[in-house]
Amino acid sequence: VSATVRARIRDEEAAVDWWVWVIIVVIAVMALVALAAVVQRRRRRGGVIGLGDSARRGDR
Amino acid sequence: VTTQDRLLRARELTGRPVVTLGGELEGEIKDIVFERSGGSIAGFTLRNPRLFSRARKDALPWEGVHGVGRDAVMIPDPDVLVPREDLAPRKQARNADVLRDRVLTDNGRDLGRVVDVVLQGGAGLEIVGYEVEASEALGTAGRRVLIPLPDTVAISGENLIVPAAAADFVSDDLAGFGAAVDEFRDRLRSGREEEDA
Repeated sequence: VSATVRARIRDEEAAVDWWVWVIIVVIAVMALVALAAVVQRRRRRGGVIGLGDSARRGDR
Repeated sequence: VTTQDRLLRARELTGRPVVTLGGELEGEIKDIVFERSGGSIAGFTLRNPRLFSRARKDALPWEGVHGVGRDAVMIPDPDVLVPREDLAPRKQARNADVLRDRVLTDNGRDLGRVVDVVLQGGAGLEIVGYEVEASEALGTAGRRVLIPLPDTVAISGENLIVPAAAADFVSDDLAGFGAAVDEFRDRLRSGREEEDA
Protein backbone atom coordinates (compact mmCIF):
# COMPACT_ATOMS: atom_id res chain seq x y z
CA VAL A 1 0.00 0.00 0.00
CA SER A 2 1.41 3.28 -1.02
CA ALA A 3 2.01 6.15 1.34
CA THR A 4 -0.66 8.15 -0.46
CA VAL A 5 -3.33 5.49 0.14
CA ARG A 6 -2.33 5.14 3.81
CA ALA A 7 -2.61 8.91 4.26
CA ARG A 8 -6.07 8.90 2.65
CA ILE A 9 -7.28 6.11 4.97
CA ARG A 10 -5.92 8.06 8.00
CA ASP A 11 -7.73 11.22 6.83
CA GLU A 12 -11.02 9.32 6.40
CA GLU A 13 -10.69 7.81 9.90
CA ALA A 14 -10.05 11.27 11.33
CA ALA A 15 -13.14 12.62 9.52
CA VAL A 16 -15.32 9.82 10.96
CA ASP A 17 -13.98 10.54 14.45
CA TRP A 18 -14.89 14.23 14.07
CA TRP A 19 -18.51 13.45 13.15
CA VAL A 20 -18.86 10.97 16.00
CA TRP A 21 -17.79 13.66 18.45
CA VAL A 22 -20.20 16.18 16.98
CA ILE A 23 -23.09 13.71 17.33
CA ILE A 24 -22.11 12.90 20.94
CA VAL A 25 -21.94 16.59 21.87
CA VAL A 26 -25.30 17.34 20.20
CA ILE A 27 -26.97 14.41 22.00
CA ALA A 28 -25.44 15.52 25.33
CA VAL A 29 -26.66 19.11 24.86
CA MET A 30 -30.16 17.89 23.93
CA ALA A 31 -30.24 15.64 27.01
CA LEU A 32 -29.19 18.54 29.24
CA VAL A 33 -31.84 20.85 27.75
CA ALA A 34 -34.51 18.15 28.21
CA LEU A 35 -33.42 17.60 31.83
CA ALA A 36 -33.44 21.36 32.51
CA ALA A 37 -36.95 21.61 31.03
CA VAL A 38 -38.21 18.77 33.24
CA VAL A 39 -36.67 20.35 36.37
CA GLN A 40 -38.03 23.77 35.45
CA ARG A 41 -41.53 22.43 34.81
CA ARG A 42 -41.49 20.74 38.20
CA ARG A 43 -40.28 23.94 39.86
CA ARG A 44 -43.03 25.96 38.18
CA ARG A 45 -45.80 23.49 39.11
CA GLY A 46 -48.34 25.18 41.32
CA GLY A 47 -49.63 24.04 44.69
CA VAL A 48 -52.28 24.87 47.27
CA ILE A 49 -50.50 26.21 50.34
CA GLY A 50 -52.25 26.38 53.70
CA LEU A 51 -50.69 28.88 56.09
CA GLY A 52 -51.50 30.17 59.56
CA ASP A 53 -52.00 33.87 60.24
CA SER A 54 -48.64 34.16 61.98
CA ALA A 55 -46.86 32.93 58.85
CA ARG A 56 -48.61 35.49 56.71
CA ARG A 57 -47.58 38.34 58.94
CA GLY A 58 -43.95 37.43 58.44
CA ASP A 59 -43.42 35.65 61.78
CA ARG A 60 -40.16 34.04 60.72
CA VAL B 1 -63.29 41.77 44.52
CA THR B 2 -65.51 40.20 41.87
CA THR B 3 -65.33 36.45 41.34
CA GLN B 4 -67.45 34.07 39.37
CA ASP B 5 -70.10 32.72 41.72
CA ARG B 6 -69.38 29.10 40.91
CA LEU B 7 -67.22 26.19 41.95
CA LEU B 8 -63.81 25.76 40.45
CA ARG B 9 -60.78 23.60 41.01
CA ALA B 10 -57.67 25.32 42.40
CA ARG B 11 -55.58 23.90 39.58
CA GLU B 12 -57.75 25.78 37.07
CA LEU B 13 -56.27 28.96 38.53
CA THR B 14 -52.67 27.83 38.14
CA GLY B 15 -51.20 29.43 35.05
CA ARG B 16 -53.99 32.00 34.75
CA PRO B 17 -52.52 35.33 33.66
CA VAL B 18 -52.45 38.26 36.10
CA VAL B 19 -53.33 41.41 34.19
CA THR B 20 -53.57 45.04 35.30
CA LEU B 21 -56.63 47.13 34.46
CA GLY B 22 -54.26 48.99 32.15
CA GLY B 23 -53.82 45.77 30.17
CA GLU B 24 -50.27 44.89 31.21
CA LEU B 25 -49.43 41.22 31.82
CA GLU B 26 -47.78 40.99 35.25
CA GLY B 27 -47.26 37.24 35.46
CA GLU B 28 -49.12 34.01 36.01
CA ILE B 29 -50.65 32.40 39.09
CA LYS B 30 -48.38 29.71 40.56
CA ASP B 31 -49.59 28.71 44.04
CA ILE B 32 -52.90 29.37 45.75
CA VAL B 33 -52.29 30.45 49.36
CA PHE B 34 -55.12 30.03 51.87
CA GLU B 35 -55.73 30.56 55.57
CA ARG B 36 -55.58 27.29 57.48
CA SER B 37 -58.20 28.52 59.89
CA GLY B 38 -61.26 29.34 57.83
CA GLY B 39 -60.20 28.26 54.36
CA SER B 40 -60.39 31.67 52.72
CA ILE B 41 -57.89 32.54 50.01
CA ALA B 42 -55.06 34.77 51.23
CA GLY B 43 -53.49 35.35 47.83
CA PHE B 44 -51.36 33.87 45.10
CA THR B 45 -47.68 33.38 44.42
CA LEU B 46 -46.63 34.25 40.90
CA ARG B 47 -44.42 32.94 38.12
CA ASN B 48 -43.23 34.42 34.87
CA PRO B 49 -44.93 33.15 31.72
CA ARG B 50 -41.86 31.73 29.95
CA LEU B 51 -40.54 28.26 30.88
CA PHE B 52 -36.95 29.36 31.44
CA SER B 53 -37.65 32.67 33.15
CA ARG B 54 -36.34 33.46 36.63
CA ALA B 55 -38.38 32.85 39.79
CA ARG B 56 -40.62 35.67 41.06
CA LYS B 57 -39.98 37.22 44.45
CA ASP B 58 -43.36 38.94 44.63
CA ALA B 59 -46.87 37.70 45.30
CA LEU B 60 -50.44 38.87 44.96
CA PRO B 61 -52.40 39.25 48.22
CA TRP B 62 -56.17 38.74 48.01
CA GLU B 63 -56.71 42.39 49.03
CA GLY B 64 -54.97 43.41 45.80
CA VAL B 65 -57.21 41.36 43.49
CA HIS B 66 -59.73 43.37 41.49
CA GLY B 67 -61.49 40.33 40.04
CA VAL B 68 -61.04 36.66 39.23
CA GLY B 69 -62.43 35.93 35.80
CA ARG B 70 -62.61 32.83 33.64
CA ASP B 71 -59.50 33.76 31.69
CA ALA B 72 -57.50 36.17 33.87
CA VAL B 73 -57.00 37.53 37.35
CA MET B 74 -57.33 41.30 37.25
CA ILE B 75 -55.42 43.72 39.49
CA PRO B 76 -55.68 47.52 39.58
CA ASP B 77 -51.95 48.09 39.08
CA PRO B 78 -48.58 46.43 39.88
CA ASP B 79 -48.32 48.36 43.18
CA VAL B 80 -50.64 45.83 44.85
CA LEU B 81 -47.97 43.12 44.63
CA VAL B 82 -46.07 42.41 47.86
CA PRO B 83 -42.84 40.54 48.59
CA ARG B 84 -43.49 36.80 48.44
CA GLU B 85 -42.05 36.38 51.95
CA ASP B 86 -44.83 38.58 53.35
CA LEU B 87 -47.58 36.39 51.93
CA ALA B 88 -46.04 32.92 52.07
CA PRO B 89 -42.66 32.71 53.81
CA ARG B 90 -40.65 30.06 51.99
CA LYS B 91 -39.84 28.21 55.21
CA GLN B 92 -43.50 27.69 56.17
CA ALA B 93 -44.70 27.20 52.60
CA ARG B 94 -42.25 24.37 51.88
CA ASN B 95 -44.28 21.72 53.71
CA ALA B 96 -47.68 23.38 53.61
CA ASP B 97 -48.90 22.18 50.22
CA VAL B 98 -52.06 20.12 50.77
CA LEU B 99 -51.87 18.42 47.38
CA ARG B 100 -51.01 14.73 47.84
CA ASP B 101 -51.87 14.93 51.58
CA ARG B 102 -53.99 12.12 53.00
CA VAL B 103 -57.59 12.82 54.05
CA LEU B 104 -58.74 11.04 57.20
CA THR B 105 -62.13 11.19 58.86
CA ASP B 106 -62.28 11.99 62.57
CA ASN B 107 -63.20 8.34 63.18
CA GLY B 108 -60.05 7.16 61.43
CA ARG B 109 -61.16 6.25 57.89
CA ASP B 110 -58.69 6.98 55.13
CA LEU B 111 -60.64 8.59 52.27
CA GLY B 112 -57.70 9.03 49.87
CA ARG B 113 -55.10 11.53 48.76
CA VAL B 114 -55.81 15.12 47.73
CA VAL B 115 -55.35 15.76 44.01
CA ASP B 116 -57.07 19.16 43.91
CA VAL B 117 -58.97 21.62 46.07
CA VAL B 118 -62.46 22.92 45.26
CA LEU B 119 -63.04 26.65 45.63
CA GLN B 120 -66.28 28.59 45.68
CA GLY B 121 -66.46 32.05 44.20
CA GLY B 122 -68.70 34.82 45.45
CA ALA B 123 -67.67 37.79 47.58
CA GLY B 124 -64.32 36.03 47.99
CA LEU B 125 -62.81 32.67 47.24
CA GLU B 126 -63.24 29.97 49.85
CA ILE B 127 -62.18 26.34 50.04
CA VAL B 128 -65.29 24.14 50.18
CA GLY B 129 -63.90 20.70 49.41
CA TYR B 130 -61.12 18.39 48.37
CA GLU B 131 -60.88 16.33 45.23
CA VAL B 132 -59.29 13.06 46.27
CA GLU B 133 -58.12 9.93 44.60
CA ALA B 134 -60.45 7.64 46.50
CA SER B 135 -59.17 4.90 48.77
CA GLU B 136 -60.75 1.47 49.36
CA ALA B 137 -62.81 2.98 52.19
CA LEU B 138 -65.03 4.85 49.72
CA GLY B 139 -65.67 1.78 47.57
CA THR B 140 -64.48 3.59 44.45
CA ALA B 141 -60.75 3.06 44.87
CA GLY B 142 -58.63 5.00 42.39
CA ARG B 143 -61.48 7.19 41.13
CA ARG B 144 -61.47 10.92 41.73
CA VAL B 145 -64.27 12.09 43.99
CA LEU B 146 -65.16 15.34 45.75
CA ILE B 147 -65.40 15.55 49.54
CA PRO B 148 -67.15 18.54 51.18
CA LEU B 149 -65.56 20.47 54.02
CA PRO B 150 -67.17 22.15 57.03
CA ASP B 151 -67.43 25.96 56.95
CA THR B 152 -64.75 26.20 59.64
CA VAL B 153 -61.95 24.21 58.10
CA ALA B 154 -58.89 23.71 60.29
CA ILE B 155 -55.84 22.21 58.65
CA SER B 156 -52.59 21.25 60.29
CA GLY B 157 -50.06 18.50 59.90
CA GLU B 158 -49.68 16.11 57.01
CA ASN B 159 -53.10 14.50 57.34
CA LEU B 160 -56.26 16.46 56.64
CA ILE B 161 -59.01 15.58 59.07
CA VAL B 162 -62.66 15.86 58.05
CA PRO B 163 -65.85 14.95 59.96
CA ALA B 164 -66.93 11.33 59.41
CA ALA B 165 -70.22 12.55 57.89
CA ALA B 166 -68.28 13.96 54.92
CA ALA B 167 -68.08 10.44 53.48
CA ASP B 168 -71.90 10.46 53.07
CA PHE B 169 -71.78 13.55 50.82
CA VAL B 170 -69.16 12.48 48.31
CA SER B 171 -69.81 13.69 44.74
CA ASP B 172 -68.46 12.57 41.40
CA ASP B 173 -68.50 15.95 39.67
CA LEU B 174 -68.69 19.66 40.36
CA ALA B 175 -72.26 19.97 39.04
CA GLY B 176 -73.89 18.49 42.14
CA PHE B 177 -71.14 19.31 44.58
CA GLY B 178 -72.44 22.74 45.65
CA ALA B 179 -75.66 21.15 46.91
CA ALA B 180 -73.67 18.39 48.65
CA VAL B 181 -71.57 21.02 50.48
CA ASP B 182 -74.70 22.88 51.64
CA GLU B 183 -76.42 19.66 52.83
CA PHE B 184 -73.27 18.52 54.62
CA ARG B 185 -72.88 21.85 56.42
CA ASP B 186 -76.58 21.88 57.34
CA ARG B 187 -76.24 18.44 58.84
CA LEU B 188 -73.20 19.53 60.88
CA ARG B 189 -75.05 22.63 62.09
CA SER B 190 -78.16 20.68 63.09
CA GLY B 191 -75.96 18.13 64.86
CA ARG B 192 -74.31 20.93 66.83
CA GLU B 193 -77.68 22.45 67.72
CA GLU B 194 -78.91 19.07 68.99
CA GLU B 195 -75.79 18.73 71.11
CA ASP B 196 -76.32 22.23 72.56
CA ALA B 197 -80.01 21.58 73.32
